[in-house]
Amino acid sequence: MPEVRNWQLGRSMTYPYPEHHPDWQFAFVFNINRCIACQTCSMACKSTWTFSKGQEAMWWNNVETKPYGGYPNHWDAQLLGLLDAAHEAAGVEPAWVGETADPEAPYGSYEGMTIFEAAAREQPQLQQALGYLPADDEWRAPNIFEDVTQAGRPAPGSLGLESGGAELPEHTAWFFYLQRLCNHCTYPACLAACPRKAIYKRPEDGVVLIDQSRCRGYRKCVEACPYKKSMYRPTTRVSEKCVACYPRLEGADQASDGVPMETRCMAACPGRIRLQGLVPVDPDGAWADDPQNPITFLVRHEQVALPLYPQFGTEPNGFYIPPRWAPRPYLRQMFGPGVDRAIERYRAPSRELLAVLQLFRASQKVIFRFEIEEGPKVFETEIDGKPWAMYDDTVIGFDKKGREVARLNVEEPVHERPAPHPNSI
Amino acid sequence: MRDWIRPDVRSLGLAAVGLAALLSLAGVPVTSAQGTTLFPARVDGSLPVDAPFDPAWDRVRPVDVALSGQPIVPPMRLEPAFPSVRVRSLVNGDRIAVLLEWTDPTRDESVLGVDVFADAAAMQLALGSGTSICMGQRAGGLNIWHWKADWAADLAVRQDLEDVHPGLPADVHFPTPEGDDSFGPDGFLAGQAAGNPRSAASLVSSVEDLNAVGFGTLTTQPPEGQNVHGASEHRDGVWRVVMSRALSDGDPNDAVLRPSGPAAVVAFAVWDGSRGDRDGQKSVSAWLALALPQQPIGLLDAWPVLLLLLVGLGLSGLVLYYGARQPAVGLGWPHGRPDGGATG
Repeated sequence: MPEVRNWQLGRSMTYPYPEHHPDWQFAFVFNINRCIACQTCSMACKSTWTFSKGQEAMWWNNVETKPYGGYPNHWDAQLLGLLDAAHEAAGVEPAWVGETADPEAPYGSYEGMTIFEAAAREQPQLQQALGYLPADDEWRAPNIFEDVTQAGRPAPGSLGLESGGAELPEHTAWFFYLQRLCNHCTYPACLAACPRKAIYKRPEDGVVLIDQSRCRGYRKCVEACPYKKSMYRPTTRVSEKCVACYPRLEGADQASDGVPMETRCMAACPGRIRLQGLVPVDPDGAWADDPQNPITFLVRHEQVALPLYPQFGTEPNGFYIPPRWAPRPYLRQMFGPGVDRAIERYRAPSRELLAVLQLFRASQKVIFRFEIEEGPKVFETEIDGKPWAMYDDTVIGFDKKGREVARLNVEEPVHERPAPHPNSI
Repeated sequence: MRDWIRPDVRSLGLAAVGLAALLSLAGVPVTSAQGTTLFPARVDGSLPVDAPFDPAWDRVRPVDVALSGQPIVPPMRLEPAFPSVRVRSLVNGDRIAVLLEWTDPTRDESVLGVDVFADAAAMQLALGSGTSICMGQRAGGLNIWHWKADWAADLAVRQDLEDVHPGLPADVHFPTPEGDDSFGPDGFLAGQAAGNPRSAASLVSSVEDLNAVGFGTLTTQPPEGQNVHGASEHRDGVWRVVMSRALSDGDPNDAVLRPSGPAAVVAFAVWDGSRGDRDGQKSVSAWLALALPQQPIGLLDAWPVLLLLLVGLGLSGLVLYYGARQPAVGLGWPHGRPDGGATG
């Protein structure tokens, strides 16, 4: 089986197909810290793509409440369990070792098995990827455990979970919202598992699509996708998945003015937690060093946004700024060993990072390049015992044609109304 | 008790299939029908193509075709779901019908659930001599007749969500925008819009006519090429499936079935839906020969011979007739005497 380079694992891994990379890669950064789970993204997607019969339980975009919520129910806990069992059977420790200076291995090296390697270890190899097929009822309640707080104070050594239940009204439970859509992986498990070769990754933007004319409804993709973002539709007897709003991405939308636009779920976010982009990719698969691309800047230069479950091995292209308050062992399991550094940098952001964070939801157009104009120092404090200063810099975003599409200051403008009308409208 | 030989037989079988796959990958033709040969029984009149339990079938002695797992390419099934499939075949002057029968206690004909799969059965026919039993290869393809229990159930009325969710609210139906006829009451059906036969609103047969030239190449024939008729019935834990087709249909994608031609090379596969079977997760047979009986020759069937005979006789008669009226020419001496002297 071919060896492919997975930068998120800091090593090569086996994959059914040899490396072949797109020119650009659809990618996004979600700031979990800002999400209020209003589900506007979910509804924007649903009203655009999955409003028809047979798609009732189909949410290409969903927001689930961690640690207990999940769509389909417990998707991540189930796969982590399968992967753990595989490691136990193989006598392998699924550990991350050593951060390296190698910019192509920002999180160190993953010594455990990916879902592809765990499947290949079985001889004969029955499947292309370790996975499971969730039943109908597991898809029906997309956030069923949202308000069931059974967790107590973070308990060290057990992912911060307690079995004693909630102690209301003290509100000692922790939770956070996880926003999910197809990660348009570099090494998609759905594509690997499809015996029909009906799934393909577009060379122009890395978007992963299911050919609706070739799919025969075998559901191997549903079984193999670790994120469970390939979904079966009973009315057409074939599977469907997130299409990354490709007409918008292609600049075919009437409002796009011929340049790539963000997807519906991104553009609809009222909490401004989402930033979607297109990342230039070198022929060898490495992200081109383009520090003025906001996604590349956040993921590779500041390393403040992390892949979701990188140990699965699909090299997902969705990245998350992890929540500051959740127990670190849980977050490390979910986002890998880069969690502590990411939170540290998010808590005390660099001058540049603070400016780029303003670009989230600043424009419907995909921002390909940003520039920063320096402003005055407006605030000083101490964070984690270290001095920290805030500058009212201006960040400017440019679309694919190099036209300015966003201009924002770090400090939001404040207008104080004159005294005679303090409360008038 | 023959249990003691089974592991060896199985590994031998696996090795044989593996070798066949390797040879196929190397481009070596491995089509050959060794072992069992199927001899379709000739009947006069129509075939029981719509009646899997017709007594006519029971007058044919079935061939018990052993099945093995599919251990070549993921997704695999190591052990067969069923030990064998019993095959009968009938042929008349212009049609062939193949009956597959296997014992399956579960009747799985719905695909409406995410983890719900239907029973299925298939016969593959080699196209040319350079094919491979493993989904064919570029040097030689396959023609595949694929019967699906869900298609059989869908034939009358397509199974829909209301069948499994009676309380499904009607408000899921999306209103059709004015002047936009692209959305029906069920909204946008992507698979149907893409022309996928699995998504088709109506079906013409429970059997799909397909071609393949290797793993992942299975391709449905165009609607005008869908000419395999299907009939099936599940009775007392036994599936009986009849697949039938005209002997000569002129379709270049179809296997040629000629009574006077060489035996067709065929293999069978069966899927058990309740065990999650689909695609490569199937129970498969080895190659078999399907030898169609010779056409019985009547007097009129021999008209070219008769015609030649008549022409020959006529010519002979002419020669005899004129030959009797004229002196022999070219057989005796030339005109005049043998000494060359002139006559007269």
